[in-house]
Amino acid sequence: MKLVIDHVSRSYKRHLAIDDVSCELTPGIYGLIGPNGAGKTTLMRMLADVLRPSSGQITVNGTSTAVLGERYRDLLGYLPQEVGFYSYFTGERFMRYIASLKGLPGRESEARITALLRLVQLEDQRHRKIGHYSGGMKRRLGIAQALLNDPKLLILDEPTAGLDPKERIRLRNLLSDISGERIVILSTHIITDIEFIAKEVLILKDGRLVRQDPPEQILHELEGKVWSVQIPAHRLHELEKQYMVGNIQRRGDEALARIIADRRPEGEATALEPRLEDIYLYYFGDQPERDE
Amino acid sequence: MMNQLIQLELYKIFSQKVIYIAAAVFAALYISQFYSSLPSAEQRALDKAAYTTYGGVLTEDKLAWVEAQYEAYEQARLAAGDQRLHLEESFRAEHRVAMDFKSALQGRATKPLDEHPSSESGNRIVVIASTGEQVVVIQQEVWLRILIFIQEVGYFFVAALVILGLAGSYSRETSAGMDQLLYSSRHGRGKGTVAKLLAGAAYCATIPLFFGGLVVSLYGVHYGLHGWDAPLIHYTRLFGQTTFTGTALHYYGLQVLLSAIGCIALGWLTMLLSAWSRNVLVPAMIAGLLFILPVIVLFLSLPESPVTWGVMLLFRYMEFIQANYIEGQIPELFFLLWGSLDRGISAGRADPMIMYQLLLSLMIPAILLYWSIRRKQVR
Repeated sequence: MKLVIDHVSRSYKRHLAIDDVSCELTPGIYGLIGPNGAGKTTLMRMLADVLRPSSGQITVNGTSTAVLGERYRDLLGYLPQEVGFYSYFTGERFMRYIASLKGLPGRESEARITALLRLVQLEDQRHRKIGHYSGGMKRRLGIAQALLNDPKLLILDEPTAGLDPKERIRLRNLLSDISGERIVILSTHIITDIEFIAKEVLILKDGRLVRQDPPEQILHELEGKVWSVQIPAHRLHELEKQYMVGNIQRRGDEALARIIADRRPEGEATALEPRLEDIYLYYFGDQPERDE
Repeated sequence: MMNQLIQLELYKIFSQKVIYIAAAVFAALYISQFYSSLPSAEQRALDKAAYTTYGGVLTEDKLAWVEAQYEAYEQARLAAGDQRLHLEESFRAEHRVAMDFKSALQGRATKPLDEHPSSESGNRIVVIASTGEQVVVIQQEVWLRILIFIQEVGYFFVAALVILGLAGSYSRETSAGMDQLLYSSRHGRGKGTVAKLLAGAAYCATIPLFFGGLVVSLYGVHYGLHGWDAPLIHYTRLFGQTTFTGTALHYYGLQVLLSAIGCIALGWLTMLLSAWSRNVLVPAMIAGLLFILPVIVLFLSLPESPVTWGVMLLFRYMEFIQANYIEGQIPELFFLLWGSLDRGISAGRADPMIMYQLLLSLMIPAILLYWSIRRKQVR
């Protein structure tokens, strides 16, 4: 399956949320990163067919999603960033409801619901009302519903929000397992979520797609630009003015800062192996975040 | 799949506590009003006995008894003078039967009596017999009260519950973000909408049934439901001139059916408004306003204009639910639906317009809702 985003733009009144984005996606996991307001959710909503592009088109194997209609939505699994599940539904009833909306036949859906609830470790909670679920449980239920129709295109908007580290690792492994022949698009602020599983990283900035490359290629470009600098703690403020500063560790009067700089900074600086997290700082370090 | 969708949509509607609270409050109001005006068991027994003894088909003997009753009543009234009239309960019950005979005679035979030469003799029985009619008096309180419930207070209870139950059908999902899941699923925009409409219709239909059941149960327990098989025309206090030839139960069934259809029209309008709003209060308030708009226009005595005419013609939801347009004004179409033509029920076609309006009021919101959801975008 080939999903093509072809010169897609989306504007809200005078604000251009997505600006002429084009890319091709084939089976595998894609990490979509960008600060708040970069247009991630807007792009995902267009991919999920709940929002139409102002211009451009999205095609699947050469056919526009607007033409495919229900057939396109049949390929989709979608977990929105914010969704308030029906608190008075039990987990099982909610899954049954989504299965009906997805057109799954009765018997098939029952088996699938059981398998998916087991997969996201909610099987023993299936008869509890969603109102009594924790944030992480709701998120897992959201992931389970997205997988109900065995989607060929899985769109997950911040799926790890609200999950504890153990659950996040489990989700990463799950996505890695199921990616196979499907396209998984995953937006996140937590870069480690995609560091080891993403086939490619899509970097969105001010509504424009600024990069689409495998993580290792992006990391390669950062080689020689990530440094660890040890300076007196009182000079930290000065350092922050000069460079993009990542993690800071305080050790008494001294501070150890991870910074991104094209050239070796002054003082006691050691070159570090770049991490995907540094990409975020490299591209967005100077940009104030705003709500989407 | 469709069945399951409808069931789950119904579950969503019936999971709202607010409708149970409102239904309980309205039921409590009606029950308290019912018991506050409920005659004593002794009085009800006397009434029943009086109608059993003196009611039925009017004969010469009964006419004489009616005249004697009036005579006795007049004497008692004169004897009381300025004092308050005190009558024995049994006498009062019998007098009610006599009054029913008199009103039946006046109501049924006005025109034939005037036109008939023997009316001058005052012998009304002869006149009635010569026109081939029969005057029958039965106990009317129970079924008349059942029949007018929806027209007097029931319509308000029913409309309020319709609006409360369906105002959140879309707006609540939009505000919670559930719309994204619905519209990104295969059937979320098509069959999902149809399922919502059908579930909404089923909910609306249950409301007149609920209140109808309550009213019938209360009267059934305290009075009994005798008279259900009497022709409607025997309920002379309200239907003495009716062209409806079915029984009281027929009429009631038709009334509940049409009231339910009226509720569905209001319900689908509420759902349409809900699809256009994020806040559940907005569709509730607009639907409520549209429901009472004709009353406001009448109350304010606004001058006649295309606008006031438009309001009166477009928003007849109150009339739809009250269903008091049935009498003599039902197009044959509805009788065919009701399957009653075979039973010999006839009705005129004086005002078929309201029926067509009812059909349009059902179809337009449903089509608009379907179209809106097909095109809806999540922003």
